[in-house]
Amino acid sequence: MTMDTTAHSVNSEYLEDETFEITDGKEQSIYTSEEKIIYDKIFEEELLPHIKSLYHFAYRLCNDEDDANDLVQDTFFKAYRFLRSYEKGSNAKAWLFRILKNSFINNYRKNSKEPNKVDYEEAEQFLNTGKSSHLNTIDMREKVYSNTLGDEVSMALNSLPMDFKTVIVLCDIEEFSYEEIAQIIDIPIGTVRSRLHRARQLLKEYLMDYAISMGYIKNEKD
Amino acid sequence: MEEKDLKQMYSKIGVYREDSPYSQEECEIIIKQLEELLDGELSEDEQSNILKRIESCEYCLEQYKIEKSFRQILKDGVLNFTNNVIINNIKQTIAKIRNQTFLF
Repeated sequence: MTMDTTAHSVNSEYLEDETFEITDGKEQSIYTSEEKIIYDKIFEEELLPHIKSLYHFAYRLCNDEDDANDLVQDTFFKAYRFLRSYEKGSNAKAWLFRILKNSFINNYRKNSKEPNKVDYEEAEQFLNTGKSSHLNTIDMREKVYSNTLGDEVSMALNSLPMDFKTVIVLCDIEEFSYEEIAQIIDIPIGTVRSRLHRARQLLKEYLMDYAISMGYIKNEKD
Repeated sequence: MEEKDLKQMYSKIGVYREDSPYSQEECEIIIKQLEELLDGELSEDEQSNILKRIESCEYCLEQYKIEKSFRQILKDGVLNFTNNVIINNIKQTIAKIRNQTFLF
């Protein structure tokens, strides 16, 4: 899968900017009726099929169903409004993920009074020192959510710093290439590579007992 | 080998095997390459080098299987979690939003 960088570069400044607020003014449609037919078709055929993946990603970022719901709606709403700058047939999934990630960061900036949702400082600390206190200090709210999913894997993912969790979901679950991940979250490819490695080390530590108990890892000499 | 012994063997420092013929540093490099192999990020030459290594070294083969297992664990864990009601609600809301007239 290759990344269409044109669509991204055209859109990124809009997507990172909160220009979507509805303000007082005159009423008008986004598209003419002819455009609407074309864009509705693109929306249905190329964007909407990615809704499940986007919801999974949003849920992993937010750890909350309502917040994930809002984030996905917001993402599709923004994508629809900016379909003029989307090139038909280009990498719709990566484009949508980038919009979602930017929306999430913008919302986080607005709601920065809720620091337990994104722990960038913890991630930074881990990247600098290679040590994390995170495995021992899992947020209780996340723990409760994970248990309701009955999912040891969710708990392990939620124990990771946000930046680590993001690359794991994008790479191992959504199967984006390193190049696509670099573009979705605006980091160099080398950083994608090292972040993935650290994240996987943490996950392996966390899930090794589970992997053995569930029979994923066996000693084949037996 | 008993499950508890297997857990004990892997418990100390992630996946590094104390009885490995390689140093922990060497193993780290191999693991990174195995990750990139599974991610489809290696060139053909790199792929063929690492595949030769997997074939000739039982520890590398074991690491490869562990890496593969963890990919599977993540995928299985996520597949268990799909709420179609929520997805349909989102679709309906998006459909409504798209048909609205916007104020600028």
